[in-house]
Amino acid sequence: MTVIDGNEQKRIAASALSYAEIPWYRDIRVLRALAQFVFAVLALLAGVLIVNNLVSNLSSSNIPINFGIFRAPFSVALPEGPSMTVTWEWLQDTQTIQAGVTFVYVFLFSVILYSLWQKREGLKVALLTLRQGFLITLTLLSSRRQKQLATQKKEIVARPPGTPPKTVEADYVNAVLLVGLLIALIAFVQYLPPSRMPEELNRYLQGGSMSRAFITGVANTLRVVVFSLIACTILGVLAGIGLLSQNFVVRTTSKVFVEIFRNTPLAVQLLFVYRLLTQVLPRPLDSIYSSNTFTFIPQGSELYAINTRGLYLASPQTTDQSWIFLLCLVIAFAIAFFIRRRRLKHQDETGEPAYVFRYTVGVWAVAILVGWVLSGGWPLGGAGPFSISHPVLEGRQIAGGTHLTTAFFALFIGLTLYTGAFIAEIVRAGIQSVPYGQIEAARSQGFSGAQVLQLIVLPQALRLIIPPLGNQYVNLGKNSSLGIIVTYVDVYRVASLANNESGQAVPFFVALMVIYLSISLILSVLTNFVNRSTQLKTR
Amino acid sequence: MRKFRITTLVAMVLALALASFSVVSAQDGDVLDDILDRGFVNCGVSGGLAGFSIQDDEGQWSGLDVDFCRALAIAIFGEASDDTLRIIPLTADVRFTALQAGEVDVLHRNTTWTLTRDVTLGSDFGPTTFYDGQGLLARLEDGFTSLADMEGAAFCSTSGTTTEKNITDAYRAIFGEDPVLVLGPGPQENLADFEAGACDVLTSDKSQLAALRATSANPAAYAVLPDTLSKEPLGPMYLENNSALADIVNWSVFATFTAEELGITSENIGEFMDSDDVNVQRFLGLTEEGFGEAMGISNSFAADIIAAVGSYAEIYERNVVPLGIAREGSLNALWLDGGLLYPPAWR
Repeated sequence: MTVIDGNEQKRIAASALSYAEIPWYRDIRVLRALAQFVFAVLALLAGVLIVNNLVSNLSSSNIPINFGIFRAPFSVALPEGPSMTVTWEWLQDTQTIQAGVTFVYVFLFSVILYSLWQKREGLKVALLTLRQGFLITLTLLSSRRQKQLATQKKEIVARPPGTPPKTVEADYVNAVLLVGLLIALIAFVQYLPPSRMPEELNRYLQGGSMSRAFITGVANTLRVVVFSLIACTILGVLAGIGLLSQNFVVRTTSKVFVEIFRNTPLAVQLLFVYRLLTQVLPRPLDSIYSSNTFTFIPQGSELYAINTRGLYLASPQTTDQSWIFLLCLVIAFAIAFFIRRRRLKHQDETGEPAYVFRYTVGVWAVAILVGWVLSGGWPLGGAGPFSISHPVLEGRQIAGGTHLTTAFFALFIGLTLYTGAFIAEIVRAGIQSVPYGQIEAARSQGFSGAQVLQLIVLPQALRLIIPPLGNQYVNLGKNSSLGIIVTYVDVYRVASLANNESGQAVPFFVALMVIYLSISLILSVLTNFVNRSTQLKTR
Repeated sequence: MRKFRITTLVAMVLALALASFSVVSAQDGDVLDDILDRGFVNCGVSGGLAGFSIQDDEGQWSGLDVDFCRALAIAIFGEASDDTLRIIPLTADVRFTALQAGEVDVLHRNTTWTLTRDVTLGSDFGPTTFYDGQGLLARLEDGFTSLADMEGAAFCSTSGTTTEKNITDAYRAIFGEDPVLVLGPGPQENLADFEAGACDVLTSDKSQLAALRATSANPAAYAVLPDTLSKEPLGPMYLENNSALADIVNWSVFATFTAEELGITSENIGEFMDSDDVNVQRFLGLTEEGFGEAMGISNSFAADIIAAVGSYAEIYERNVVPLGIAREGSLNALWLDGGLLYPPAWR
């Protein structure tokens, strides 16, 4: 009689269990994987169906959808933004395009690999489903031996009890979408007209092509979004802190600002600002110059000029020596960074003050002076790193300097005030969510009001502020399309101009949606990144 | 629960796909059939443009374009009331999309007939109802006499029209560089920009400039310059391959021209009812030829139009003359008076 020891007993029990295991078609993991697959296929089919439908119906009413329309000439002179006639040879170079495409594919491939690695559990289930299906087919066809083999499957690594299931993170989806958009961009580049074109065609394309007009529009949209984003954050944080100020005047002013701009439509605000600016400002011949206000500025070298067309600022122009100056600044940045680290380490070790600010200012001052001298400026008597272009009246308009149009200002001011008011409320809520006991504790430790805010309140409030802040940024990006009210030539205006010129609404509005989607996704990915870095790391 | 959600999603996607089919199949039909089923005409106009389409304090529409909308409703349904005609104001940007989407059946929206629009928009143009040309509205104090004086000036123009392209071309031809454009969303916004000084010159169709000048705060300070930068034949527009509707639109316009030729007006039409002139009888649908029936509408459609809306002369007199645009000697006179209005033969 054979003695069965404990281990052997366990083995038999385990093999009995494996025989009793549920069939694959009732395994919830397999079913989930299958359901996802079926859903993806259905969604894809539905998408193809809708697009096909749209295209065939439009073409049956003689409205073809042809993305080649982006090569067509665009014959309206856009009043602002980068020139449409600039040729970008590097962009149209076939090798550059190929390199770009290759890069995108490599990137895409790595993203897929990475996401599979992230989801390796899901991958295992998928592979297992395939293997099961294969083995079951075999089983149906052959002997009991194979049936045994089929049911002895590898154990699936289950997630440990108590851990939540992994969900597809927003970032992951965003990243995949962004890759798609990158491909769209590459595809778009193919529609840029060739830079070396026959003389006649060049003359015909004097105003540039549709694709160039879109690039100008995107540049204008990005410009107003970036400027307003920075300004509304500063304004919002200040007003948010102001809402909680002990000072009655500051508190009331902040409250009035927030309530007015949060509770009126943006379109009304934009129109109000724009009409106000155009009504108040003088026409170009009667421009306001810096020398009118500051009499010590000589009339030939104005710092600014203002009229109904906008603001003209004296602007630095690069010279041949500019690179020396810029190089000095880069070196200064590196040195300042290095010194800052050393000083902070010193502070940690000895407890002596770091004086980071003093050191940084010192480094920058020296760098600017050295750069200026090296690039041939004072005291060598040369032009220096920059020459200044001053605004001057030429004929009926101001020439020289940097021009920011009234439309830009109206949109910039409107977006900043509107979004700033919302951000102020978010900041207020974030600060108020920090327990008051912490502030009292910090006060009792001898922290000053500013220190309490900077070291105790804001770092904790930030965690709650950033996610809703990201929403506001995305809103700002989308609201910039209201620039159409104040004659701002953003990408939306360009799309409608192009639509009017060619009558092909679909390609242009597809491009428009892709562009706004990219802007929103980039903004939300950035906020998510900042958000993750400010969150408390808990285990 | 999870399974249920997926099923719902799938159902939604399929519903969406089906919905897109049904939307499309509605477009496939003939536009005239749709109008007859629906019981009223959707007519797209500019809105807010004195002389062409403008609403008074009581919400009543008037203007040259609106009168042609009325003529169409009368031709199809025998009367133009709130029941048979919906006037839909559209901005320049959205007008063609509105037509393509079937939101309006016909555009009487001072739309310039161009080759690109005719060919690429999936639509056709009807007979020109107003011959216009692009002009320039300037301040008298600036002393401009023509485009050649305007180097460096800023031009207000409506976005989504042919005017911004014409001014770009004309300015480039003279000065070799791009003009400064202020692209407003509509003529009223252009006028506000111009009056505030955001631009030096307002450019648009001359009829529109006259209308805007008339409605401005200080008409005496502005003048429409003699320059004509372009040809702007304005007329109705409808979807391609809809001959039944196209015929009715075209002949409702020609009816007003022909009435003027024959000397018929809304006031004296009663006297013509027992006329011996066979041309008049044909026009008023008194003969057995049945012109209306051939188009699927009433034989007396021309008589109905003239009785309610009047001949082209009356329409012009009522709407355009108050803007200060004389008809005599202009392109909008009847061919008998040296103009371009020449209806085809009514027989």
